[in-house]
Amino acid sequence: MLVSKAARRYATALLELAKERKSVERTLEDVLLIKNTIEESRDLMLFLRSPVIKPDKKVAALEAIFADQVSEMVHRFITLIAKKNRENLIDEIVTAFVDIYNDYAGIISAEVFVAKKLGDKQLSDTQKQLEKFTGKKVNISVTVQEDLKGGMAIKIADTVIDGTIKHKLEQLEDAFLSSAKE
Amino acid sequence: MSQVRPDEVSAILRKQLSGFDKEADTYDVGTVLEVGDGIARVYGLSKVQAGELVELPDSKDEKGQIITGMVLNLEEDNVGIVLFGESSAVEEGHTVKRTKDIASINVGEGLLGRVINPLGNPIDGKGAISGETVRLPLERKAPGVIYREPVSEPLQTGLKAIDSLIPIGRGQRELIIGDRQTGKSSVAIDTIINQKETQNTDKPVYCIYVAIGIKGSTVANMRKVLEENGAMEYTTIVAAPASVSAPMQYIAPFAGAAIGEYFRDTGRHALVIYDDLSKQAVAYRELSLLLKRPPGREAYPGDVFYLHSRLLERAAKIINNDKVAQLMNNIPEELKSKVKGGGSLTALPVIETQAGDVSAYIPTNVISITDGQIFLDTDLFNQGIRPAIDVGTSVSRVGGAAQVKSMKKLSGTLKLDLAQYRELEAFSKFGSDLDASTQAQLRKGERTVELLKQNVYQPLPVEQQITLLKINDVGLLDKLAIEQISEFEAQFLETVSLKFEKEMSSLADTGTLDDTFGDKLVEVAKSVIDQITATN
Repeated sequence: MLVSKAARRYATALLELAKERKSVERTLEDVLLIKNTIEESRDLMLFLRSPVIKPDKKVAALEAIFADQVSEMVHRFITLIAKKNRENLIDEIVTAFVDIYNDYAGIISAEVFVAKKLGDKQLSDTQKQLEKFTGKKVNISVTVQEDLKGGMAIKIADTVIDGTIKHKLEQLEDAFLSSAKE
Repeated sequence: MSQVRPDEVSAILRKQLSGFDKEADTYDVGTVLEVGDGIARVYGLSKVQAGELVELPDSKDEKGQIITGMVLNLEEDNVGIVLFGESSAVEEGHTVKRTKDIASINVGEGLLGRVINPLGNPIDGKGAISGETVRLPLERKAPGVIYREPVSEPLQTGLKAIDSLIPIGRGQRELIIGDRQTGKSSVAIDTIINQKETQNTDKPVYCIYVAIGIKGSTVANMRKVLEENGAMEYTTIVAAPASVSAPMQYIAPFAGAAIGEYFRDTGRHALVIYDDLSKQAVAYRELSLLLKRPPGREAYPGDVFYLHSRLLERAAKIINNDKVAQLMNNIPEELKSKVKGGGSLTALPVIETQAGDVSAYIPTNVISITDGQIFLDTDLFNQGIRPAIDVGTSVSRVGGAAQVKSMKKLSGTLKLDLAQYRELEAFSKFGSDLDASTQAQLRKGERTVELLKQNVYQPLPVEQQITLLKINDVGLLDKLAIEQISEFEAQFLETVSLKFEKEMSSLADTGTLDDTFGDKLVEVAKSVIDQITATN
């Protein structure tokens, strides 16, 4: 997801403050709560993004939803965002926060693409191998795509390590076609 | 597509399968954020280099070919790429894959006689490029000063007016400039046709014609003309006609330069014609504006001067010393083992002016970059003076050093005669009473102008040009009426080539016209003139 510069700046500010107050873990929990709530409720996202609804109504709603559940700092952060008329950015800010936190904590996320659902053993083996390979803690998210036919592709940041049957077949097709031209 | 014999098929399949490894393939990807007008903005691709080629495996054109693009903008949170195919096939969310290949083209001898697009793919329906090729980058730094030599060998255009008054040397950059319909492309095509005579020597000139933003029919026509004149054998046409996308038109001259450099760096001679660079500048302006680069004068981006200067700097005469030449800067790895000294790349860029305005942005830029210009004038063209070269404003800053000796001698007086004639011509329009010497000068001037006229696609070898100019120099043409000059030219050249075969070939080799042969020529000219005046 492309995160705007403004969102990244708000997220950085929040993390810096959390580090200063030594409450990074608590803040992350709160942020993840907000992130999951927004992701699960499309209505809330549309509500926050709507230019028609007045900011103070949005603040009131956010207060009502999160006030009791989040720490005082995150609560104040939400109020700040609302005051600056950036409530439409809140989903980007939480995404950016998680990204920046992962950087800080040495966690990388890897997307795994497979043709069939992985068993628990396979998943933990993959995770172990990836952690050995990258030297960092790895968060795995698995996507099942049947057209891959077999094998596995792993995407870490922009780099894809592609060992799927589909890709092999494409390479083979290319090789045959290019030799036919010569 | 060439044919594969059945018995070869299984062998080829085996070979392909044996190279088919089980290793996982690693590549970098990004995602298309927005697309339109031949430009796509991509998220991801964080390690991509500027000028790198990228593939969009999800986007295929109607022929099923994967669309490719080139990275032009690297920004903080996205990458701007230009698409070589139709942008309508690209959608938001499509994957973009790095190729780790800076935009390059496959170059080899097999390109001669072919028509290719700026990515090096043949478009003449004659199948794949045959023979060994090397992959050369489109953008390459020009050779540094130590690897260059001053221009010393002539590049004959076969046009009397140019070879005598505005001589071009191998390694020179000479601009052909003029309004539309003044015969700019014809000058270029004539020059290519005239390189036919160099093909039998030990220093042949290979030609590359880069057509940018020209009608497809015109490109086809030019190819036909070159083929009819036997010039296609040593020529490559890089075609980016008006129908192709702006990125293709933008890279076309660089593709031409890369092909020329292959010959230049392997110790041979090449001529590249960029027809025309004003259209390329327009294509580049389109790209730059779409990529949101700030516009400057005439809405061209700030680096449009550098666009043309870096392209034209690649034309060079390389030092005639293999050891030094092999140390040349920025030689691609694949080419290193083949580098030889003594080669050259001559560039003839073409610029189209609007209503004779040479002070517009692009014309002034290119005039200042090149080593001289051939100015073609609409008025002269309409008066029937063709090629419509304005001898007064055309110059060649370095070509004189490369001119054939006797031609140089003759051209000195020719320039003077023409200059005096032009001055008197304007003056004589006011009065009819002119003294005899003025009248004589006018008479000679008129005949000189007539002699410099030439039909298209009929270039003359330099030795024939010298003999004609010699006859004009001694003033023999004054006896003829203006209409008889072309008749004289044809008859005289025929007689001379029949009578003095040996002398003519020695003149072609040495470039010196000795007095005894000069006297013989005058004799022949006199008899031809008598013949013509007697019959009329």
